Amino acid sequence: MKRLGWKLFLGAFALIWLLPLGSLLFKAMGSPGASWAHLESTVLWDYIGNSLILVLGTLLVSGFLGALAAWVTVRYNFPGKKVFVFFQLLPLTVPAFLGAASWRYFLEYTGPLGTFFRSLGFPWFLSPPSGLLMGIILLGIALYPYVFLTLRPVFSHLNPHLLDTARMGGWSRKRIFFLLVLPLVRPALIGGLSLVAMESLNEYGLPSLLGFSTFTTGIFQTWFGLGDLGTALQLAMVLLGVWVVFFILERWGRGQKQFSTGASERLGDKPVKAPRFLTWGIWTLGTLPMVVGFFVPLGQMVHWLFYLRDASFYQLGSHVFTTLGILVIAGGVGIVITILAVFGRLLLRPVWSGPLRYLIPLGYALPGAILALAVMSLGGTWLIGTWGGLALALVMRFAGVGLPVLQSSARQLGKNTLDAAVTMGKSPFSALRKVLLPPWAPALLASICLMAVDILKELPMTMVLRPFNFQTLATRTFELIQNEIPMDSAPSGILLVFLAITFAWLGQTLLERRSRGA
Amino acid sequence: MKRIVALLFLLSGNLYGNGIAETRVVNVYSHRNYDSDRALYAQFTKLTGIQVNLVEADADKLIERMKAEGIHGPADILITTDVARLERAREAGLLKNIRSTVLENAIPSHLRHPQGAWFGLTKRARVIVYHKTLTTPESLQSYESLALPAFQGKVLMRSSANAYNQSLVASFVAHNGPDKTLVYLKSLVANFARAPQGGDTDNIKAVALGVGTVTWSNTYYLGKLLGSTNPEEVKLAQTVGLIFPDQEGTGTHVNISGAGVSASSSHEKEALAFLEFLVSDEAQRSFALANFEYPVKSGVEMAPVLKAWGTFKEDGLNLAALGTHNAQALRLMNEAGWK
Repeated sequence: MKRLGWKLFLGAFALIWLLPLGSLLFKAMGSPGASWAHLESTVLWDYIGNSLILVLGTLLVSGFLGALAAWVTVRYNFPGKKVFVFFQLLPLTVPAFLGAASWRYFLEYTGPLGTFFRSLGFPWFLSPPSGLLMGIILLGIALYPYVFLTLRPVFSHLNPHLLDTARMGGWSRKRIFFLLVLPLVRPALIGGLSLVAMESLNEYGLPSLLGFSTFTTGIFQTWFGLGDLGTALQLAMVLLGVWVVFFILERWGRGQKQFSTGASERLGDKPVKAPRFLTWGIWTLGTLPMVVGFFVPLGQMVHWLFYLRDASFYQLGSHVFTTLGILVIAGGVGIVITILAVFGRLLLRPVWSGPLRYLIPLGYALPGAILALAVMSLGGTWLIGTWGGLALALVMRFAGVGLPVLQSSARQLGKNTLDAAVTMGKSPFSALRKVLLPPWAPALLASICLMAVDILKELPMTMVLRPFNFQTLATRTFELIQNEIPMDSAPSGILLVFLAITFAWLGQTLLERRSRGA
Repeated sequence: MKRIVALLFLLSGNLYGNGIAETRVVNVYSHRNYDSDRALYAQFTKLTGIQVNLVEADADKLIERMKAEGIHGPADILITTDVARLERAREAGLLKNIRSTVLENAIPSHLRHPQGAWFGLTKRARVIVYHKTLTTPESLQSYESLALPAFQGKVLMRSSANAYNQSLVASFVAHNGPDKTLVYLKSLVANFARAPQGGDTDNIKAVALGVGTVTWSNTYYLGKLLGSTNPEEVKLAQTVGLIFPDQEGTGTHVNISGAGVSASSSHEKEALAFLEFLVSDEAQRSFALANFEYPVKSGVEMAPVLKAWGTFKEDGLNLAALGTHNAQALRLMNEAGWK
């Protein structure tokens, strides 16, 4: 068989997703599901209703902010644009539980604002934020960078003549954006939004802190509280099923249409100078989410620094080392798999390359702790509690975040280049190594950086799959917040955020260079 | 890159615990995650030369990990923060029965498993915390008082997902049966001042601020708040008082943080030494002084704040019952609409 090695290789990597998920499905189906009747008559509809509202609300906030920020930064030039673009990534660097916790402490009576106002003689009435609406706002802002990041390069590649034609036809700005631009970028928009939807649906820490239950908190309530893991797994399979159906529908709806506009000119090359009122508008509207999603949480952590106890720097250095170590391993495995998934598509027919590519995003479709169970269900101490096992689990979860970046690079420089190289007598591997990888390198690094931001923040899988004496900045920060001594979490929390900023900045810079070059 | 990966894979094998034959180790899976505990483990290593390897996560997840790792799993000890999880681990066959006169002498019999599958290390009393000027302790002598019409719109609670709340309700089920408990829970939920949220500390602060006037809390959260490095928090903590409920009746609800030896343990001697160290005066004092928990051993020095709160009558219920009734407790909480 032609290219058998590659086929086997791709198939083997697809098993990383297929085996754990399959084994989990098997386990779920084997359970009697004893708690369904009870859940159905009490809390299930509440879970479903809240989850729907949370997801739709978060999509609305993230979609609006992300698309708007991406559009104005492609279309217009305005003072401070570079800083503005970088700022849009900042909310992504604060883990959701940390954002929610710091907001609660920030607004409470003994928080910095309350203390300050009372010292001036004013009363303080605000109570810590809670509830579904607060959840939507905080999550929507924490996640909109995903939409921003996926839309910006696509906007930038649009054909400017399309817009000119529409303008000459008398279309308004709004009409052009909603009826022309958005439909053109549909795949990227859906890609970004589905990341947002999956992450908000799977969020566990934030809803329990803000006091509302969702489908995901329900899964854990059923597992921990009712002690019925079987029903919990069945609930999780429902969640997975929803995503599988969604991906199939989305794929079917898109058909084989290609959304490349193939123009030599790009919208991103010719930004228009923004009128004065627009500059003000952009900065005002763009600053708000940064304040909510980044500056307040960071400020609160800095405020906590003033109330540190002695113990707070406990082994901080080793936590940094561990965090970076697992990043290197997971990043290394992740990059190999991402390359394979993209290269496989160029090299092999979809029947061989498809499985890996379509399985990868499913790692994001389940709550982390359930995914950890899936990995554990493969059993064995060779996997559980090793650096390699944890790295594999992290890759399984986050490869879907980095994949689209490389995919879009391969669309620009891929099939034709490979065919040419192979015709000239190069083996596929040497074509990949010598011809494709060098121009792909920035996109590859960018996709690793995006994964790194997520791996840095990861909690549930790290906690349960970790080796002995293994503490990352995220697990350390979380345990101190969980123990209700948040001030001690400040050193690790701030370090975590700054590491995440470094990777986000690096990723963004590489993405920018890629969309300007080539 | 490849070299780094290879190196780290190798390292991961060695860090495993069983690795170097000469070192004596005990591998601990723990739901507790306090720095004071880690300092205590370091002390144990210094005294015995036995290295403590630690993985910390939610007990239910650790239990699944132990199941997945099977008979060759590395865990020697499982530590949880409530008895229901120890019972779950025991029922799943993950714990082995241990005999130790040191443990049996130090720990009262109702705080350990009759056959030695698990042992209580600290006691955690779940008490009523009330606002000193907005309500009177006389009106709050029992857990049941919180369900009285007088407290409509005054009760603050954290989520029903919380294990401490589930455990307290499980004790109601054990004492009064499910029907009475449900009636009580419905009246209690009707008295909630706001949707359940936050942790114990959040709710204590909300009591202090008059959002409601009463809540349940584990004592150590109030202890920590009183010892906070933020003077504003200390001021708040001083406006609330603490009541050990049901002193005339069944006694105040007490849960344990406890430990058992894993059925798969290959370091049983070290595991036993570790458990015996944790009930030594030194370790028990550390639990009480650093984390404001109640020692299981009598005659151990306690933090001043614990001393000031005084002694109290504990619920004498066999702790295993809390495990038995945990799921039913949550079902009733769900039925009563406790979110």
